[in-house]
Amino acid sequence: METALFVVALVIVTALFFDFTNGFHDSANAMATSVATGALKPKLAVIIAAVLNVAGAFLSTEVAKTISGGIVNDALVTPTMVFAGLVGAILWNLMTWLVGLPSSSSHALFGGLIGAVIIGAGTSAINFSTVISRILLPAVVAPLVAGVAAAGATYLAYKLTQGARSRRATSGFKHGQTISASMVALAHGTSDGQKTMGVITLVLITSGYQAAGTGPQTWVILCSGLAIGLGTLSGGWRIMRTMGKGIVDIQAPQGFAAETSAGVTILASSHLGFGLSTTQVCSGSIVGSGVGRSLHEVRWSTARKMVYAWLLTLPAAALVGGIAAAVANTGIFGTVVIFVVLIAASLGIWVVSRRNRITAANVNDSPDVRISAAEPVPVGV
Amino acid sequence: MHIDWKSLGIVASVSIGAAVIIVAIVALGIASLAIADNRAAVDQPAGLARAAGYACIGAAGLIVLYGLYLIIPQFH
Repeated sequence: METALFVVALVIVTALFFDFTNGFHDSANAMATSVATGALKPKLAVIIAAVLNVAGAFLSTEVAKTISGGIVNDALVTPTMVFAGLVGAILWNLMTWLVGLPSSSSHALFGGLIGAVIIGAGTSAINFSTVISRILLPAVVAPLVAGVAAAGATYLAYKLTQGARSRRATSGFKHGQTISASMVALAHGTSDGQKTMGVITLVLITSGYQAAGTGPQTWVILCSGLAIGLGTLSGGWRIMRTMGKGIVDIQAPQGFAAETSAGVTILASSHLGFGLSTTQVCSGSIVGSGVGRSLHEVRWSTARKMVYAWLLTLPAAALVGGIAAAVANTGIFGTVVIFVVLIAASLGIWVVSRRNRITAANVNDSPDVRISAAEPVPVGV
Repeated sequence: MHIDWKSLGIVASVSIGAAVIIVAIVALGIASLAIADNRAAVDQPAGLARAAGYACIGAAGLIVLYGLYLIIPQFH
């Protein structure tokens, strides 16, 4: 019984860590365009995003009935597999953050779980058709829909205000952008905040520490809200730079069109029954806002790298999750080894990121996220 | 394998339609207010343009409230 409690505690700590990486990975979704256009100061932007994310997490505590939503056979999932899946998701989130690429935290979590479940229970525990209909198809649809919406909206925004280029027009779009971005942050909080609450609650239920069919306990809600809020507050400036400057050098009308399209698409998808990933919606709408103004504006090399990261998210997280499960399933010693490896790898990635730090102060200075130490001398300065 | 093409189509068309309409309303509002400013600067009557501008911004405000209604589960 005591080892079971130990594993559950380890899962909860790991889940909160995942929640933290989820927060800093996704603060860029809502705020990158507002930071890039100067509608909001970087620090203020992440404070707003964090507050709204936490508010969203508290507003919606109706947790999912299953950990994976039917992607894996939940009856076969043990706390150790959840732990291994979380390890895969966290490491993939940190790797993509290091290179400054937005990638879906939900897909990373599903990928990690799939890998862990394949190792622990075999491929028959995976519902591959659900993987296609709930993950792969939406991954193609999300950026396309948001991109087309943002391209049309951007084109109109420029067309309609053509004769009215003024400081008033720019500041009007900046205000609009701040409001749409805040809506995205709030909507994001209501969906992503409960992801971790759901994982923790289901682990507590399956290991017998909580009655089946009950909602998340108060401390679970508090800790999850706090973890995602702190993650958002830390900013994820590397991803913020790519999304705000790296894909398109965003102007106020584009930022407004992109955030509005993202917000509308997220709301439509969550209310009309076809779930889409927030990250992919937001990235798609930013690319679309570049296309709507001028095709040449889009840095397609960055957009391409982003697509590769999306394609790799599921298999990469699954690979790490699978390896973690293979070791963790050997017993309590293996589980501890994996936890230590997770901490060491996370610290390692963080140390590498320090070689070329990106902070609130320099997020807008360049479109590139580099890992090497030397910052190239800007031309013409 | 079951793919819900119908709700996919609805989500796609609603997203694209609503995004374009909302941005158009705000852009029209901003353009009208800018026209009003320019006319006022040369002492021409600007009341109509200003009223149109505020009407658009007001409509956008109502859309934001509807968005909040959709986001916050306690409202439904």
